[in-house]
Order: sequence, then structure tokens, then C-alpha cells
Amino acid sequence: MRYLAILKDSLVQTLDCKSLYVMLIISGLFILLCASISYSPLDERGAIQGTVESFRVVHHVKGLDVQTKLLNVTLAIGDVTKDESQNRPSYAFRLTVTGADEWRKLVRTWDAARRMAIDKEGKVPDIDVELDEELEKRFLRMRFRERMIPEATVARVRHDGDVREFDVTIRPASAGTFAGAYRVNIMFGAWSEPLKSPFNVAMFLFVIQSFLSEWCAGLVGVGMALMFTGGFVPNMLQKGSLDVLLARPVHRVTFLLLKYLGGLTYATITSVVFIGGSWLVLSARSGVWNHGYLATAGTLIFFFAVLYSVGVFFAVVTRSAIASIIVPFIVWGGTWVLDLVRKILLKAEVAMPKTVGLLLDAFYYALPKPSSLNDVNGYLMAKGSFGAALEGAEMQIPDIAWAPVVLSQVAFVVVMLALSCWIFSRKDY
Amino acid sequence: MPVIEVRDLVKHYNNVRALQGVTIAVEKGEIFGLLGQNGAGKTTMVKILLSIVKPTSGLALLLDRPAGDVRAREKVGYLPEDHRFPEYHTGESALDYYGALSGVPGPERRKRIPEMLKLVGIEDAGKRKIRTYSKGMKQRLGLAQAMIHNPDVLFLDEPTDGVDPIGRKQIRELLVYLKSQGKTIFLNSHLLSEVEMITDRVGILELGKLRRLDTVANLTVQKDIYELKLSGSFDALMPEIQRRVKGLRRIEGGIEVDVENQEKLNALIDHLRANNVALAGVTQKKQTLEEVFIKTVEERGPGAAPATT
Repeated sequence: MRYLAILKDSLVQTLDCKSLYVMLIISGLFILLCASISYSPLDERGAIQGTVESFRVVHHVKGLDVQTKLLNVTLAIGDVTKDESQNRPSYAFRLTVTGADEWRKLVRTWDAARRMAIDKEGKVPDIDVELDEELEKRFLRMRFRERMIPEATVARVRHDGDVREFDVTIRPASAGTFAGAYRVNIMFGAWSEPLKSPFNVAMFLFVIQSFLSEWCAGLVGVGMALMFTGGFVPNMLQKGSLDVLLARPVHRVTFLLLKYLGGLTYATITSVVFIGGSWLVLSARSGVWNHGYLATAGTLIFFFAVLYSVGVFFAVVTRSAIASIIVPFIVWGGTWVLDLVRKILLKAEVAMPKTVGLLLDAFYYALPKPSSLNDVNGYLMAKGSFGAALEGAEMQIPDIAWAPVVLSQVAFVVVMLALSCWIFSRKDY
Repeated sequence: MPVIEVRDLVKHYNNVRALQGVTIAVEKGEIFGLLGQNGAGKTTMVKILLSIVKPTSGLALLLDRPAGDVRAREKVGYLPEDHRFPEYHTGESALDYYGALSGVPGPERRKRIPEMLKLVGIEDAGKRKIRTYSKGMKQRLGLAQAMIHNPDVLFLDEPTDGVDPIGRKQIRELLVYLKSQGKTIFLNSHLLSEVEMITDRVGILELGKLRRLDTVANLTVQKDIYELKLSGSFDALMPEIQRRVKGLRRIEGGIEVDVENQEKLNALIDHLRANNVALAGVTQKKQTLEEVFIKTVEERGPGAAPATT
């Protein structure tokens, strides 16, 4: 009962904050904007044309990042013949590729990327070596598979200077529309644009959701939540206010931990409303239910929990709302820079004294890791959006080191809260 | 058995000796007043009993449990000086919160909250946010939160602070009523006239040391000073009276005398009667608690700084 009372008190405090309503209204506007986005499929020929155009883009993994290359090759389809004699329709057409050099680079880069053969400088092996027909055909078959078209028959019919022609027959995984060519309508149709290659709906959603999760919620949302909740614990610790509480038959540690949970309640409400609401409307409108984006709500709450534990610690030490608000921002900025510097140094394989490397690692593992948590978010969303397609194409999104990122930050929260509790339980007020 | 007991209680804040070996025991059903200047150690003592402050040494027992024991606070209510209630609460929701923290079950809270608000005279403001309350209303709410869980012991630090004279009278009556219900009340106050009116015993702290501890009656009595109400002319006898006493002062309808002992008083009365001066009444002179307090403090010097180690 006592524990619920403290949580309820935090909720009352949260609901009393006008800031919560401001954040909920802003979230509502974003959700409305998301709800205004709709997609209309193009006709089948347009869909197939959009699909083959997307082949011009190739991705390869470099460290934790996915590098994207767009090659200047023209891929055009001729008339499409549809065969509906079987349970799933098939489509036959001629594909004309113009731009032999760029075509060669495209296929070689794709091939090297899937074999993880691209070196750290981005050099692609055999990039100048002429393509053989089998590799070209494999490229086309696999690229169709990535676009949920598991069956593709390819025959090269022309190989003449700058131009190549292929006779292609494809059979998509479902009798529905193609995934790669849609018209996107924003603000309930006030602005409308066809989704051009390399975007399909999933990719378009990925970009929107990345923006919402990393910038709107991850930066602005967490920042606002830190500002608005920074006063919770210092308010409790105010002279006169604290005396009334400490005279109750409740352990001090209980008060502090439940007040901390009260702050998390605020972050949880706003995150769940913002991410959950935008996920629901974006998914319902697009038909792409990216559970990875939904999972970033958890990451955001976790990230807030890490920084908020810093605020609670400084609140207990100083009883100052200003310190409790400002210090988490300083820690956030400082560790973001540190995280980034470490990442750059690791990527560049800069030779540095062993002690410096050890110190960087020590700070990295001991402190919050905002940049790495962004990577986790990106991974979750990418996995949610493209996991099935990539796995179908026998490709994997590279795993990131979850355990060190998450566990070290859990340890950080535990240490900060344990120190806060220890000080709070011993201090005279 | 005392419900509040401190023995040789010592508290040092860095180099400030806030309490220097204080020993007090308060019995059940008693209203005890602790007096002292600012910084005398009154609030520190209460805070030690409520485990808000840790003692440096000595013993502090509350309802027969060590002061740090959480269970000791289950039947204790506290109104601190300069209290500040969360302004996002209404009067009702604040009482609900504090009641729940003190372990009062929901149905009982729903019954007690209106009762408490009525008892302290703010029943019409229960649904208003505390931020709209006046200082006096907050003080009344403070009393209500201290009583919401029907505690056996109440610690009240300046309970009438900011309350108008009518409100102060109501609070005094409330405290007397609580005493009649068997509650023990530990009162810190600067308003000595009020303390004198309602307390059974008083302790006077000065610079962390307990200087006086006694009933109000014993503290205020002035030994060997009497007021004699006389009828008839006694002007001619004044020189002889002056010779027989240590001090003499004319008052309306008689004299005030300071005698060495009761025998001298009886001899003086005999002398007056022998000279046809009738005695209408004899009263032992009392002093106010304020006078006692000031006298006690002035023995050391008013406004002296707290002792340092």
C-alpha cells in the first residue's frame, strides 16, 4: 500500500505538470502527421520498373555502419506479359541495362559485399574484371529475392558494347502488389510523390521511424523529460517536505527508489504514447508492422533511466533542482563525444598508447553510451523493417555487441542508485 | 513506562554541539512542552526521535523502540516547523497520500479524511490544490496530516505558527481534547503563554543543555513572595513591615512581601492583626512561564551562540 502510495504520488505530480500535457499534445500532432501518410500502389509495370531501379543501390557493411552506393546505370523494362495460369501470377519482360562500366561496378560491389570482401578503404576486388553471364544472372535473381520475389528466371539475350538485355520471368511471393513501388501521400494527400528507387515502403518507413525515434524522441523527448522530471527528487528533499515524509514508517531507500520510478513513469507515458501511437498509425497506413520501431520505446526509456539516475544522484548530494537537471545533460553530451571519439579511433585503427586505449575503454564501459544506444535503436529498426527480406536473400544485418552496451549501463544505473541510496539513508536532514 | 525517552543524548553537527547530554522522559497522556531559543536544540531532538537526524551518542526511545526503528514511527504524527506540502496535491489527496504512507487502509482513509479536515476547520477546502491555501490553512492541514493515522504520540513544532488568535484557541482546545483521548503530545513552541496554558510539564533547553524540567506549576511558583490583601489603614505600620521583610512593595489593596520563611510571614500577619489591620487574603506570588524562561536564558546570556566543540 505504501509503495503504491508513493508511485501514485509521482503520478499525481506527473499529471500536475503542464509539461506532460504539452508533450502529449506535441506527440499527438506528430501522430496525426504520421496518420496523414498513406501509400497507393503503382500499376504492375510501374512496380516492376521501380523494383529493378532499386537494384542500382548496393549496401555494404563497414564497421557498425551500412554504406550505401548508387551506381549510375540505367535499368529499363519493356512490355510486361502477365501469366495467370498458376496460383501465383508470373511476369515476363525484357530488361535493358545501359552503362556497362557502372553495371560491372554494381554487380562486382554487390558480389563483394555479400562475400564481405570489401576492405576497410572500401576497395572492391576484381572491380575492373569483365562480368561473366552467370554472375550477372545470379545478381538479378538475388536482387529479386531481396524484393520478396523468390522466383526469377534470367537469360542474357544481348551483350553488345554498352548495352545488355535479359529476358526475365518473375513470380512474386504473393499475388499482391509489389513491395517496391508506391505513391506516398502526405498530409492526407496535400503532397504526393511516387516513392523512387532506392526507397520502398519499408525503407521509407525506416527513414521516418529513425527520425522519430532518434531525433524527436531520443533527443528532444528525452531532453524534455529530463528537464521536467529533474525537480521530482529535489522537491521531495526540500526542507519541510522531507521531514513530513521521513517521519512516516517507510524506509528512506524506498522513498528514493520509488521517486526514481516515478520519474520513469513520466518517461514511459510519453515514450509509449509517442512511439506506440506513431507506430500504430504508420503501420496501419502502410501495412508494414515494424516491431523493431516499437521496441525502441524500451530503449528510450532505458536511456532516460540511465541519465535520470545521474540526476537523482546529484539531487541527493546537492538537493538542488538545477544540478539535478543540468548534470545529466553534461554527462549526456560528454559521453556522446567520448563515445564518438572512441568509435572513430577504433574505426580508423589509429595507433595510440596502450594506456590511452585502456582509459578510453574504461570510460566507455563505466559511463553512459548515448551513441551506442542509437546504434541499438538503428539495429532494432533495421531488423524489424528488413530482417525478413534480407534473411530471404540469405543476408544478415550485422549483429551489434548488445551485452556490453546494455549490461554496462544497467551496472551504471545500479551503481548510481546504490550510491544515492547509501548517501540518502545516512544523511541528516 | 515513558512513551518518549532520551538519555544522555548528544548531537554534534561538525563543530556545533547541538545537544549535550539531554535526558527527558515523557509519559503517556502527557502534554510536554520543550522551550528554548533558536538553535537551542529543540528541533534536533525531535528529529533524532523521528530518525530524521542520527544522534552522535546517547539513547532515544519512542514507544519503547529505538528511534531508528521504522515500526516506532507507525503510531507517531509529526508537524514540522516550516513544513512544505506538495502543492500538486489537494488537501484531500495529500491526506490520502500521508495516510497511506502511515499504513491506514483505504476505506478508513476515506472515512477519516473528511473527519480530519473538519476537525482542523478546513473541510470546505479539501478539494482545492494546496497551492491555493493560506499559511494558516496549510498549518491546519499540517495538523490533519499528523493525526490522519490516529497516532499515539504527536510531535508538533510551532503548531500555531501563522494561525490567527481564534485558530490558535481552536488548536489549543484540540490539543487538550487529544490529551483527553490519551494521546501524548510533544510540543515545541515559542508562544510561551500558550505552552503555559496547556502543557503538563516543560523542559527548557539552552545551548543544547536541559536547564529546567518540571511541571508548569512548580516552574512558575515564586517561593516566599506573597501578596497580602489588607483592609484598614496600615500606612503607619510600613516602617515596621519594612524591617521585618526582605522586600516590600505596595499593591492595590495591600502589599507584596518577600520573606525569609513562613515563620516570618506568620509573625508579620500577627503583627498586622495586632495593630487592627484585617487580612482579606494571602496568595503565594507566581511568575509567568515567559519570566521563568527569560530568567533561565539570561543566566547564560540572551542570544548566545550554540556551543562549539
